[in-house]
Amino acid sequence: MPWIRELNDVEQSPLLDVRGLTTRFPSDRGMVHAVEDVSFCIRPGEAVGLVGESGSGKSTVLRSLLGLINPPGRIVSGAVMFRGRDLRTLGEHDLRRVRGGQIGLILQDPVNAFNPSLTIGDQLRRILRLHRPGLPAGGYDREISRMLARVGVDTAGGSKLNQYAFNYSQGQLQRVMIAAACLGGEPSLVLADEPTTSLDVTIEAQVLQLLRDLRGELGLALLLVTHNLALVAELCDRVLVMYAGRLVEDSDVYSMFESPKHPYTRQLLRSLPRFPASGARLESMPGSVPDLTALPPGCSFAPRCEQYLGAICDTVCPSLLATRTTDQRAACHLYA
Amino acid sequence: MSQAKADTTRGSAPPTVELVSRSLGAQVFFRLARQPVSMFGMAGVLLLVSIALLGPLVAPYDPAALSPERLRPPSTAHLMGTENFGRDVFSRFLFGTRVSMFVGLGAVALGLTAGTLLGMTAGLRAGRVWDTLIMRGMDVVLAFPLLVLVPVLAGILQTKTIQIGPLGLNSIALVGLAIGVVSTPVFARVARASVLAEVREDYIMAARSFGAGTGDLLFGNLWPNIQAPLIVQAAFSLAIAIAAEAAVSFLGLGVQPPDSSWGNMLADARRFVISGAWWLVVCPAAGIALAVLSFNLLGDALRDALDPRVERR
Amino acid sequence: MRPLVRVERLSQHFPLRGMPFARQRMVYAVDAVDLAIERGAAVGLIGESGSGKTTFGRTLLQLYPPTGGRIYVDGQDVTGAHGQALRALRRRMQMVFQNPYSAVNRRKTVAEIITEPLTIHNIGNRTSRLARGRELLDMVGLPSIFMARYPHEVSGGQLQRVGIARALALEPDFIVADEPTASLDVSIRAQVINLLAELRVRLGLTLLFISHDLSVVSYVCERVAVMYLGKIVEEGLNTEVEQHPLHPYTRALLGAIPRPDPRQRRLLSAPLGEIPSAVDRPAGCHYHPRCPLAMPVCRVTYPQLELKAPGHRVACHAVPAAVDDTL
Repeated sequence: MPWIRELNDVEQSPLLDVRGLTTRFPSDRGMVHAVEDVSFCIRPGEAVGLVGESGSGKSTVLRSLLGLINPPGRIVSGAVMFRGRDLRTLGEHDLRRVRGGQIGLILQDPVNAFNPSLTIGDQLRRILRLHRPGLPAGGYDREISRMLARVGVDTAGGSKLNQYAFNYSQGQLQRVMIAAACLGGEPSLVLADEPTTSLDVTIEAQVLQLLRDLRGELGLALLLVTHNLALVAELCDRVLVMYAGRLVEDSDVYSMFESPKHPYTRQLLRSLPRFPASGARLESMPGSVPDLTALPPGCSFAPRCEQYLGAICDTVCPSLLATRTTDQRAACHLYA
Repeated sequence: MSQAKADTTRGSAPPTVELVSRSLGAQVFFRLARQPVSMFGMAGVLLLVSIALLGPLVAPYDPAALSPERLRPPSTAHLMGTENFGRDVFSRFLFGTRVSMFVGLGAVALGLTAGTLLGMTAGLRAGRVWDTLIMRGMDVVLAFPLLVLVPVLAGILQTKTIQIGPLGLNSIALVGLAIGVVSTPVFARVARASVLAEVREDYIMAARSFGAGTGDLLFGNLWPNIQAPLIVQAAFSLAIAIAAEAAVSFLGLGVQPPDSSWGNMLADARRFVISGAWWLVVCPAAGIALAVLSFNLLGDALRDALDPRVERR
Repeated sequence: MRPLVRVERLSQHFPLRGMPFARQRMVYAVDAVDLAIERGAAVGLIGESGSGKTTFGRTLLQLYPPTGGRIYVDGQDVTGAHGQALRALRRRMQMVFQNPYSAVNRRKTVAEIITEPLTIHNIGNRTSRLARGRELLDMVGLPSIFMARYPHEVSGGQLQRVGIARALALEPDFIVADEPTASLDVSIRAQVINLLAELRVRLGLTLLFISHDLSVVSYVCERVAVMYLGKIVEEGLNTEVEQHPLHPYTRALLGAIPRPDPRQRRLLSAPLGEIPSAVDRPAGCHYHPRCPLAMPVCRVTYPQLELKAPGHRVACHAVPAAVDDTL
């Protein structure tokens, strides 16, 4: 999307600037270090993919941004600067205006994201009433129908609005959620948590195309949290890779797939089943994700790393360092 | 094979090696031990059980021993005074604890066994004839209020000793039996619901896929997984059973003299409390309160301890 | 060469409970499917939700009694087997489930889980069963300290291997793997895929690999069948189907898969609309409402699954029939 790049040149200040975010959860077995010292930026109109496996902390990052961490978990430290304001300093009342208003949220399972006892129309009206108080009273339904038509859901002249979530198909519900997130409060940033994981491939493709179109049309910035690297390749401009609660790679999307800098990213890409099959064996990664309550002092990936350098990897935790390529950073002693 | 041995990694051993492999019982105990509230419940239960077991052995007097010292307030000779027949209240309380606890435990044991068997059968035959028969039968039992059903059962069976073969059923056993019958439906429902939930799980289909028969499924696979809610229900039902026994005996329809139970001690006390004999009420009332509270707390704690999803501090 | 497993018009129709006097509606989860699997072959079965692929796997193993059609194992009709015959059959045909955590009894140790099939069939004694258990763990690449562990103390990938070990306990000939990697982390999938491929070669297993992910299937299987609304719409060699998909649904499916390469970004070809329910299926060819090649005949007659190219069967009116008589 070339015109988005031009926009970036004009507005250099980031839309979202996360600094040193750390979130922890106490549990039976000890303190879970879900997110440790994560810092990244999202520029206006930029699509950033946040990838990781289970236990990487990616979903926790997303929820931390909007203050959606339930006790006993808590955000231990860090700042979430959105348009210059630290969201962490906002009270619940103000945060609620941000959520769904200036920052849209798309969740994983569309079926469970809606209240089964309220009609879809009711739920959308509530959203609009909260985030678009300027609309005239009768204008809500018209606006909702327009929104849903924009995402490809036919409201049959408004009658479908009086139906409940179970009358809608999975794909339709996900589109409704996208409409609510992207069009409801006129946000500048949309956070999406695994938006297509529970969808069929063909529906996923439709949703993907829809997100692309909306981004192009509205210039939305997007933070896409997913474990599916292919999705990121299709949709994002930049990629953030997380492992065991830390950010290990921050890179432009083309550069990342072409020459990944962090060993984890490299090994991960090599272990992906490619379609069409290359015929060769898949290169699997040894071991498994470490226990988040007992992280080693050094690099968490060291036990599984093919480019293990020695004692330094076990004792010192690397921070995100610049690599030879300007738009790629990796948290690895290889680049120290 | 080297490729498949992909789990060995360089450096420190994978963290899972350090975890001690714990069975359900051990896990539950450790979780229970963390909550002060559950510790209180366990302590209360232990106290009552110790009194029930050891109390009668250390009772200062024979609970049925009449004496001319009637309605005396507490003194060094009689820790909780005497009642209207001169019997030592404290000794009666110690023996009565055994009776009340026995009735409660016996009733719940009976209800648990019968209810589980019936509930499991109904669950496995869900939607079909046996399920309907069993569960509607349980509904019929539930339709009768406890305080009506127990006296009716006791009355039908006569409050005297009954011989069933070599066993003699005195009033205590009859009360236990009646409360047991009345407790059965709740266990049947819990068992049935648990079976229905578990039967849908893949591991049951997996067991069938390698040829498991109904017996293997029921006892090898289902039973260990439905224990948890049943145990929790047992704790709550114990509280109810003890209170039920107290109520029934209080009305004179349960445990009969000369046996003492918390309930009939209160019944005896009723006539004399107004004239100031407060010591007749303290022990049995405290016993009932402690029992009901402890078992309820224990039930709550067990439910949280056995639920893998509850968040803990 | 007789196929090891063959099904003929296999069906699984569930009745939907509706109003007492209304017409009985059926869910046509699996509808008159014909499929043959050669001994030692690995066949992939792909489809989206509602395609019936999972139901097919379970009906094949008779975990749900088939409502129609026949199942042949080694040429013998085993449909409706029960009692001892069924037990014997179960020893030969096993399943690996999608979610490893729900596929094992969480109150049992790994040792008990793996040896349960042996216990049920009264094979050996306690010692020999435990020895076999350790042997099985070794086969799937897990150290024997796992024997005493409980499922919650083991990671998803490791537990899935336990599931595979359990499926191998009775030395079956045929294994149905039902989405074995779907609930695993991306980096672990490769381990399990490689393990299955390796075990298949080492033990001479015949495999039916059910998945919604074609990229995973193509690493293990030589042949692949595509299901849509209870029927197979295309079937052939892996490479054939991937490179020359003939059925419009297969083409749409392949076109919709996102590629992990930003340079290959293109308009993802998504078919219009969504998968209809398996209850009220469109008349004629079930795909016709979404098909770009739909012709009048498609609305009326269901196309048979026929050979349209060497070893390549397709159920579509728009695909020209094979010209070569030798097919």
